[in-house]
Amino acid sequence: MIEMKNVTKVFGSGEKRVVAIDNVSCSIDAGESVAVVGPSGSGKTTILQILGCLDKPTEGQYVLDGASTERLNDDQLSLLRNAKIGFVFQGFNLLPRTTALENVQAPFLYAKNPIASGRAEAMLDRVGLAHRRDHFPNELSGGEQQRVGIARALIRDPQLLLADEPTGNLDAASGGEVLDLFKELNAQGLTIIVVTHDKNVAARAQRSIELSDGRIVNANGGNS
Amino acid sequence: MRWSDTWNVTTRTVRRAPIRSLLMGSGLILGVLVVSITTASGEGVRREMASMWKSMAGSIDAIFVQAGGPAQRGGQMAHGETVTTTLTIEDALAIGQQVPNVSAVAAALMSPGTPIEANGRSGTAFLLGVTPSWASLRGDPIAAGRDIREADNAAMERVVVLGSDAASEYFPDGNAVGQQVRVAGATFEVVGVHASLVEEESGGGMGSMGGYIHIPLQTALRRVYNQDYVSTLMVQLENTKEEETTAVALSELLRQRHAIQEGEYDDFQLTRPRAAIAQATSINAGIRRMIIWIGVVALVIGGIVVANLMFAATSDRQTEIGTRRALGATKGDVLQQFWVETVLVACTAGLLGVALSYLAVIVVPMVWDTTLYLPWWVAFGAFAATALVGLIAGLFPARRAAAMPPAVALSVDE
Repeated sequence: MIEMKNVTKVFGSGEKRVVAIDNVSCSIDAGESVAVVGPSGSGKTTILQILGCLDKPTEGQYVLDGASTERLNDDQLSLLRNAKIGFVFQGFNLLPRTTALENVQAPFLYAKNPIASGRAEAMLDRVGLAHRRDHFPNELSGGEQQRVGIARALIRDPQLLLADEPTGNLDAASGGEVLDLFKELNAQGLTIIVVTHDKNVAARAQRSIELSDGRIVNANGGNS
Repeated sequence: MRWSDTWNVTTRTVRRAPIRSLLMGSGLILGVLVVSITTASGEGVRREMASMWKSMAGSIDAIFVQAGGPAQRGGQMAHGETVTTTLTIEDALAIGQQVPNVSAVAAALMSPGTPIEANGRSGTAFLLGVTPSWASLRGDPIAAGRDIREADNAAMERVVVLGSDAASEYFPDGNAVGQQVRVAGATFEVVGVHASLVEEESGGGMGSMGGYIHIPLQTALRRVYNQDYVSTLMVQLENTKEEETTAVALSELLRQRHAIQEGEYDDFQLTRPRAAIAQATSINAGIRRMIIWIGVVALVIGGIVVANLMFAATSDRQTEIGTRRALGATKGDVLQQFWVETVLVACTAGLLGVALSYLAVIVVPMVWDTTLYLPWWVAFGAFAATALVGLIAGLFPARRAAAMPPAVALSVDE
């Protein structure tokens, strides 16, 4: 499903040169649920951005779903993100002045094919928010916003769900609901990668990859 | 991204942040208002003048020749009544034949304060002995009966056409046609009544000529006054652009016919409504041009304001941009969204400005005594200018938004 070969990401140049990811290789199979953990500055976010095709490695190769992403241009990467990757953000990142339903529909703005009628409503229902469809983000609680965010991430039937500290801005109860939802989705076969520094979140993944200073220091089978 | 989706997303943004959009476009609204109102006031003055002249003179596409020049008027002041006897019907014929760019010439003998008796009432009226073309060139509408005809003129018939005021004064029941009227002691038959002009009704005193009566010119010359000179010629122009040249040729012909020597004053006077209107409106033209430039500057500054606020918006909305990119938006999608949004804000401001301008055209004359007229093409031009400003002002912020790398845009903390 996912394969990183000797991936290095360098920001800046000269004296300001920072190596965020240093020669990382790893592979993740379809249907896995993986936690990427490590202290801040360890390169977690950078690796997530490369996995999400939001950024390209300086060196090395990233293969997603059997296809190398190296030679893809910006438009092709956008298309790839739209079709294959769902993003869940720490800050929810719902579009402002846009209702819950419109947010869930948003990925179809950038898809070649139009959204099937009733699909977004069904997806909102799936995360238990059918009754909130016409509410704006600022009228929803954090937990509700994150569930709208998950519905949005799933609307295009992605092969990979990438979550960056998905429970970081939530109370324990709401965070638990989000993680339960992830577990359910994973059980249905969705590949999920969660970046977190929260040991409890990481503990719910099948395995975790630990980063430090841009290198993998520990990759194990996890606690599950 | 489909255009319909872009439209939905951008109108949504503008509609759901109305105050922000309004503030953004305020400079443009102001610019449109200034340009429109200034043009409307200039156009209003021009139209008011033209309508005043039309109601007085009947036509503004003509040159009027009045008997009596500067020399006579001076004499009149010093020695009392002096009548100029040199302007004749032959002059009218000569002008029609010899001066280029003349489509028709009408002549009139004018006699204010002519005694009238009819229907048991008596008073005075402004009498005009006219050639049949006079009323038709003026475009006086007939309310009842008919106008003076060539046959009336040739046969020196004692027939009269009443102006609307005269008709309603002497025949309030409206049955004037066929009745008899005594004009300057002779009996005339009423053959027609003129309708009152709309301009006259609203113009009141100055423009109103409703208290006039028309009789055939030859009847006036031979049977009433026994003279061979007229008061005024109306020289209708074919092409108003050559008015100046025609006026010069007209002047030369009359001076020659009246045997006026070099250095002597004219014994006639030309009145040119178009020139008079142009002169009256040109007094304010300089000031108006300056205000229009202020309007144009307001539009430019309005555009800069819009561009600046959109630039600020691209910073404020980095998370939105990053999120959209993550959801699959290409650079082109982001460019399109922000550009269209700016154009939309500008066009909305332009439309609001035009709406406010038309409102002002209605409301301002209720408060101040002024005439405003906003031609549609000025309103449209001002709106088109705001659209253009939006296109230019929106391009650079939109390009900046599109160029933002998604990873960077997403790593910004709000």
